[in-house]
Parts: sequence; structure tokens; C-alpha cells
Amino acid sequence: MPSSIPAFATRSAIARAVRRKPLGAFGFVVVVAMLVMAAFAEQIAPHAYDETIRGARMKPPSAAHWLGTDNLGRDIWSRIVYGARVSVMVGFATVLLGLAVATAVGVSTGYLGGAYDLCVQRVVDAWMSFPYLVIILSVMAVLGPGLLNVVLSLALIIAASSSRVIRGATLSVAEQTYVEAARAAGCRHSRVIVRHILPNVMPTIIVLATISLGGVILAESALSFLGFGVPPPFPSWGAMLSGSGRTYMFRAPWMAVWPGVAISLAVFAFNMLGDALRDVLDPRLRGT
Amino acid sequence: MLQRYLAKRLLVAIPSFLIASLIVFALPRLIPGDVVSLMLEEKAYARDLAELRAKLGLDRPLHVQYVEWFGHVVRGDLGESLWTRRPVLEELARRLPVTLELGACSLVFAVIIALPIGVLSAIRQDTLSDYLARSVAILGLSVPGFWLATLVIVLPAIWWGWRPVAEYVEFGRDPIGHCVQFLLPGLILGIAAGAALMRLTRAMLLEVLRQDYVRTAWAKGLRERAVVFKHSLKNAFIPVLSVLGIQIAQIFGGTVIIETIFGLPGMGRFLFEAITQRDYPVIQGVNLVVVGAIVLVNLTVDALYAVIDPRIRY
Repeated sequence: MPSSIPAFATRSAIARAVRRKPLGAFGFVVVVAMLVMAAFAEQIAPHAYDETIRGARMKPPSAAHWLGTDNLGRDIWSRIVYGARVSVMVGFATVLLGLAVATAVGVSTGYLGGAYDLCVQRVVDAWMSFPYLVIILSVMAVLGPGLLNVVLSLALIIAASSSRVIRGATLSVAEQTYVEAARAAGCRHSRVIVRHILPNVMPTIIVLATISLGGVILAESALSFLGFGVPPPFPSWGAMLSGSGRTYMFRAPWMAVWPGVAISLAVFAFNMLGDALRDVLDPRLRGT
Repeated sequence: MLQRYLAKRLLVAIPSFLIASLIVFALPRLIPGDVVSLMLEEKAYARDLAELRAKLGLDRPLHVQYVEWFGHVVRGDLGESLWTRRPVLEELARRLPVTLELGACSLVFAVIIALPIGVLSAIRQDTLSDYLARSVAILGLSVPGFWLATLVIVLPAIWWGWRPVAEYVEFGRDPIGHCVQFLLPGLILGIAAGAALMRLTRAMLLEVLRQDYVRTAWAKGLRERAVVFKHSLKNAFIPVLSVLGIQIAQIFGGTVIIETIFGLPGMGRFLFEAITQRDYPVIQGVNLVVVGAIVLVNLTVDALYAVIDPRIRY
């Protein structure tokens, strides 16, 4: 976007976006809030994530502890603020890695076609015929628990399913006459891909990234819930709902409520933002 | 014609099942060496490293292993659990019905939620009820099932002192209690699948409602009911059906968590326990059955296409 646009034009553009896509704008605000929470957790959280506050075991929400405290006397709001860090880190790392692989596979199979495409597509088929949680857990069983392994196994899923969509987008771009013209003018395949295919597939990739982020955060929380995520005491929203705390939830229900609200809100926001972006950038993806 | 179409679909399904079986086979072979010695030390799966390698079938060339393993699989021998020493197939046979019942229950909930709301949302496009339905659907996709399950167990216990039965009720002992115990987990599993189906039903119906023959149906003076149900819904249903196949797979993935939370002795919980104990023969066995079942589901979906839509004959 050129920087010479007057400020009032940008402001009215924002106002128009909010009016036309109110839910998308809401999603955007929540996503920004989550990024700020993750980046400045030390400044925002009133307590450290592992700080045991004396005489504050399982206290209900109050002015001192907005969301209450858990069975070890830790401030739940502070742990949720720090927990955003895990969700954001895993989310972005997974989507970056997964989409990088998906783009390489999707663009190359879509552009080159032939036997290479056929073979790769059959492997993608087979990979996608597993339920995603089953394949992730099986990979985790091989790799062992840990944050990096969560990212690796989730990225595998994102790569397989997104490569299919990116391949489709590549197919339709590769048919365009400007691609034919570029080839006729003597461009190498590598130049056609980098200068003509990739820029036109980019909107699809951006939309995929936003929509995948919600799914990845949801999947990360499920893995953490099952005990495969970041090791304690560092908080992740999924892990806060599992483990030793579960037996205390009957006496301190706020322990069970807030982490789930945080997960749902974050995923809801990414989904809303993704939906709005898709309508604007890539209407072809509607219904996926 | 129909037979030929089905035979062709079957021919396509076989390679994808074979590749999937290769993935299932390859997974334990990717275990780093130190994990095998860890299994020896922590889980005491064998007396020495050589014996454990032999048990896992890691001691021979890869292609020999695969052929031998597949030969056993075809004869119904999935090996035995490292942990309990019981045949994997026997254990699976005991647990499969529980998962099938849970899956069927959640599928029913998903369809009951998805179809009416999806149709209503499409024929009342851009009204308040449409916006509401779409927002609720995205919310349904965003709320983690394990959280809902936790709330369903915790909150009623606090408010009314009521808890869902924590122990599995056999059909023979109490048929009604047996069915009732699947309702809550089935509903929770069905919500996410239902939300996805609802969005697709709406999108596809909207597409069909814009077609010329629908305008003709309106112009003939047909009632809304006839236009929507007789002319439109049937044509919108094919993509919905194919996504239903995908959703069945995802529902199975969800059973891993839901069965663990609700204490149902099904395949999902079996898989989860096997993964925490690094019981590879069980992991392989469950994965293989799951993939086989999903390939079958997809074949059934293909066959249903042909029944619903006589135009489909590849």
C-alpha cells in the first residue's frame, strides 16, 4: 500500500471494513489482543506463571485475582496471559512450516503435473485418510512429547491438507494466458513459478494460513490436554484443563472454565478473521 | 453400469489403502534407537535389546518385514500387545462396538443439528437467523470438545450434585443405561461435525438456489417446500455427503479424547493408552483398522453418490 494515502482515507476504509465485516473486525481485535498478551506477558500479567501466592489456594474470582486462583495458589489470569505465548508460538511456527511445505508440494505438483503429481497425490490421499488426531498422536508416540514435536506433527497435517488446495489454485493460475505468454517469451520454469504463479496463489495461501491458525491452536490445546505439549509448570491453555487440577475442579469450577474460554475465543477469532479475509481475497474457497 | 462404477472405485481404493498401510507400518520403524532402549529399561518389554528388536520386527531387512507383516495382517494376525501380551485383534474386537456406537450416536446428532439449521440459514440468507446460525456454527467449530466434556462433568456436579456415570454399563446388564451413557459424549462429538456440515449445507444450497431450474420451479408457482426439498436439497446434498465421509474420520479422532474423559472402553481410549505406553503393535493395529474403516466409509459414500445422482458414472 503506498504510504501517500491520506490518513482520513485509511480511517474511512477501516470504518467501512468494520461495517461490512463486523465479525471479521471483532476477530482481528481479539487476534491482536492475543499477540500483545503473548509478546508482553511479563508486563501484563500481575503475577509470574509459577508464583504460588500464600493463602490464595482455589480462591474464586475477585478484584485481587480476576479469574481466581488454582489448586496450587497460582493466579489464573496470569497463567492465561502466559499461556497465550504457547498458543501463538505453536500456531505461527506450525503454520509457517506447514504452509512452506504445502506451497512447495502444491505448486510443484500443480505446475508440473504428470506421474509426479499422480504419485504425490496418492500419498496425500493416504495421509489424509487418517483422522488428524490419530496421526498426530502416532507421530508423537514416535517422537515423544515436547513443543517442537507438537509443531512438527501438526505441520505435517497442515502441509498435506493445504497442499491440495494450493495445487488447485496453481492449476487454475497455470492455465492463464499470461503464463503461456511468459513461457513463449522464453522464461524458465523457475522464473514462471516465482514471478507469475506464486504471487497469484498468495491470496489463497494467506487465507489458508489464517484459517489453519485456529485449527492448530485447537489441536495444540488438545495435545497439551492429553499431556504431550509443553512440560509443566509453564502454562498452556490445554494443559491447564488437564492433569492434577482436574480433581479440584469440582471445588473450584473457575479452574475449568477460563482456559476453555480463552481457547474458544482465540479459535473463534481466527476463524472469523479467516472467513472475512476469504470473502475479500479468495471467494473461490467458500465452503471449504 | 452401477457395478462397473463401483468396481472402479474399489480399484482406486486399494492403492490408497496399501499406501496407508505402508505409513502404518513405517511409523514404529522411525523410532529413534534410544527410545527402544528406553522401552527396555522403563517398560521392561523384553530381557535384552535383541529380543525387543525381534518383537518389534526391527531385526530384518525392511522389505522382508513389510511383506511378513502384511502377510500376518491379511490372515487376521495383528500381533500381540507388548504390555498385556494379549492378541491385538482380540482386544480390538472387544472395543470396536463401543466406538461404533459412540460414533453412530454423534453422527446422528451432527446430522440433526446440521441439516435443518443449514437449510433454514440458506433460504433465509442474510437475515438475523442466518447470521445467528452462522456465528453459532463457527463457535461450534471453535470450542474444544474436551472442554465441553469437562464442563458437562464439573458444572452439573456442582449445581445439582449430578454426575454422568463414570463406569461403563454393559448392554446385557442395563440396556437403557447402556444407550443413555452414549448421549452426552455423542452430542459433544457431534457438535463440531454438525457445525462443519451445517456450513457446507448452507453454502451448497445457496449455490443450487441460484440455478435456472430453481427459478423455473418458482415461476411455475410451486410452494417453497417443493422448491427447497424436491428440487434443491437433493442436488445440494452430494458435496455434503462427501464431507460427511471426512467428518466420520474426524469423529473417530475425537473419540480418543472423549472416550478417555467419559471412561468408555473403546478404540480411541485403547489407542491413547497404547501411545502413552509406547505399545507399538497396538498402535499399528488400531491405525490399520481405522484406515480400513475410513476407506470403506469413502467407498460407501461413492456408492451413495451413484444412488442419489444417476448422472454420476465415471
